[in-house]
Amino acid sequence: MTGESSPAEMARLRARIRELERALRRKSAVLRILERELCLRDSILLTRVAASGSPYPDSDPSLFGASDTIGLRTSDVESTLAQVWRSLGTPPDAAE
Amino acid sequence: MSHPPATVVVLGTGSPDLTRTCLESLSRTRLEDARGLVVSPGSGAEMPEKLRNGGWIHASVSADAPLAARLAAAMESADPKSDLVVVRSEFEFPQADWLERLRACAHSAPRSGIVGCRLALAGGKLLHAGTYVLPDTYWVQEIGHFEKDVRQFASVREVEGVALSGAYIRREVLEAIGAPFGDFDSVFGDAEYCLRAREAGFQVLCCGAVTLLGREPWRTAKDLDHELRSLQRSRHAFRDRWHAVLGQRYVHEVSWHSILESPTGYAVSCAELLRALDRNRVRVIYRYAYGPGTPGPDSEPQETGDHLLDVLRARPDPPEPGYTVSYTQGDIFERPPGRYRVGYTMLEVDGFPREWVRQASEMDEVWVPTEFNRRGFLDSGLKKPLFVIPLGIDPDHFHPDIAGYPNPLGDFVFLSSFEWGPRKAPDLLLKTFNETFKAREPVRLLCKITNRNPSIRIVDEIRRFELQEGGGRISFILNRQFPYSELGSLYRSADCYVSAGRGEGWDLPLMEAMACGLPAIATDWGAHTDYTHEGICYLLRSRGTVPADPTNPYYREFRWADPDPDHLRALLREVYEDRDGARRRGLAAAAEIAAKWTWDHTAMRIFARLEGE
Repeated sequence: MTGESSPAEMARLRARIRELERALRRKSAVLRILERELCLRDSILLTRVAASGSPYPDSDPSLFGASDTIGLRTSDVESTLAQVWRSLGTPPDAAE
Repeated sequence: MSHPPATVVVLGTGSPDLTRTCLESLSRTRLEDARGLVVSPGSGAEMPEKLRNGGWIHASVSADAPLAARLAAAMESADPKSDLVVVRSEFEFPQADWLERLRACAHSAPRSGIVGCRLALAGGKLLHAGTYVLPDTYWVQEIGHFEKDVRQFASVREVEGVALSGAYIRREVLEAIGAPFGDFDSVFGDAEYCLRAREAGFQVLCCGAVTLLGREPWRTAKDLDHELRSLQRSRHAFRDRWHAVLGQRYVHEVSWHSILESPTGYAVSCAELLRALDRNRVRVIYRYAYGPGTPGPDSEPQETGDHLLDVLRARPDPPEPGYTVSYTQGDIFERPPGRYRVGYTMLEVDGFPREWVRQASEMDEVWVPTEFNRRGFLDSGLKKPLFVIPLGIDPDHFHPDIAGYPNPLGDFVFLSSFEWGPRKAPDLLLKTFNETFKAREPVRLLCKITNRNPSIRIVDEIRRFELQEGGGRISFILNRQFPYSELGSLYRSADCYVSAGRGEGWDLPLMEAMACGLPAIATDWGAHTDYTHEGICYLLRSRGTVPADPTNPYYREFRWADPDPDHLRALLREVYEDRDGARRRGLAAAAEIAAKWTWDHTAMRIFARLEGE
């Protein structure tokens, strides 16, 4: 790398930065939508898949999303239950 | 039964738009034979045609006319033989039969004089459900202020005061003490009118079956400053006028040593006990009981934003220590001084440690919440007078009409709420549930677990149970603390409550769930035996007793229950299969708990002990 870049190189780099910034804005907007719309379970799935991990952390879905902490978090009953119910997915076939 | 006619007076106290919205809302309700009067500045153009055609009339007042002048203007046209319904134009009427309900409530007893409503904000918060004034501060306090509205305070309750923003006043009250508002153009005017009615022998009621909806008022900083100055002036005048009456609020005084700021049963029950004692004419001076050298934290905050509790803890000590209650573990009974000392405690096993018995023996008397604990103290050698003072529930926040958020998938939900540890036998509950049901059945166990022990990893503990994927499905809510005023909603979101532990000193969650009308499965041992029976609960058999957890120093040498997993399996299945039977048992539980086991019952028993009864 030289100490001084040519005007053409500077223009190319500036264009590249603008392009990356646009891409970052698009990606951020998508992530904000996903964060707003997805339930906790799907958010975790998405995060794991994006990080090239297995979509399922273990074979025990009952523990899904349980974070092991001894700190108490103040929550609202309605939103907590909404999160729990959303994380359950579709009902099993009771007739089976 | 026919009641006297009512005159509805709408005081246009906000903008013309607000008054119009209020009147339009009012016009959509059943106003029966009520005569209507609207008092507002201007021409009354905001009155809907339906009301105008119904004979409602408008009286014009100046924009700065005080409430008393506005009401006087209306009363000139009112039928002097009618009851009066005062409505302020900031509110709307979501219930078509609001007036019928208020009128029925007002005429349900000969001495009921003023009936107010639940006032809520359109955004889902409660404004209040009645008021009270403490003689320490003389601020008018609003009951339930800004709690999430989950249909709490749904019954008819006698209260010290109500807001005259939507209140029914019987004509007997008007004849006895005149029209409301008087000198104070604020909440103090409402409080004073209610006090005067009570002095004249009338009851002031809050009718929980009627809710009016308001909007959060928008104020500038200047408005707020003006309002606060005006309120302070009213407060001082109110205090000068009413201090002698409010000073007679209490009959007894107690120094109460316990804990309030902790996510424990002691702290929750302590707060509810203090509220109930205050309602029942006991002046409580609260002091934090624990501190350095005790099993509790060194200190707790002096202010929490809960007006009543903050006032109780700010009260100065009496010149001579008087009647003192330590509502704590038995090994710190001897800390507070007192002329007459009471230790009030509980434990989850069949006896009490020697140190607890030693300190209890230093007390003048000892209280326990259950016969189970009374036997435990006697068996452990206590010779002092021993009284059973049961704990309770708050029927305004725990009843079957509290709003729930049930599982939209329709699964039958068993709920259990507990702190992780051997006493609660989580292995028994989780394994038995997992074995009893199949994953394909529409049923689920929801465990609300608290774990404050850093040496325990819940996920690892549960993995050790080797729950089967094809077995009953279990969900967890881990270390979440819900506002106590919303907890009823958690219970109302489930179909059955399970408390299958080895021993309880009381078990507030079980009793709260039962008060909410949930069928419950509970181990037939320990404190449960004092308030459960087959008519209101599914009693889980114990195979006998086994030595209690020896790692807990308070449990060494003692025993607790050994719940029968086969019977738990049968009970889970029975509740799941016979839902009508379970529902009936749950509703029977709710009725019995409300009738026998509330904090007011507890406070009345304490009052009786203070009287020496």
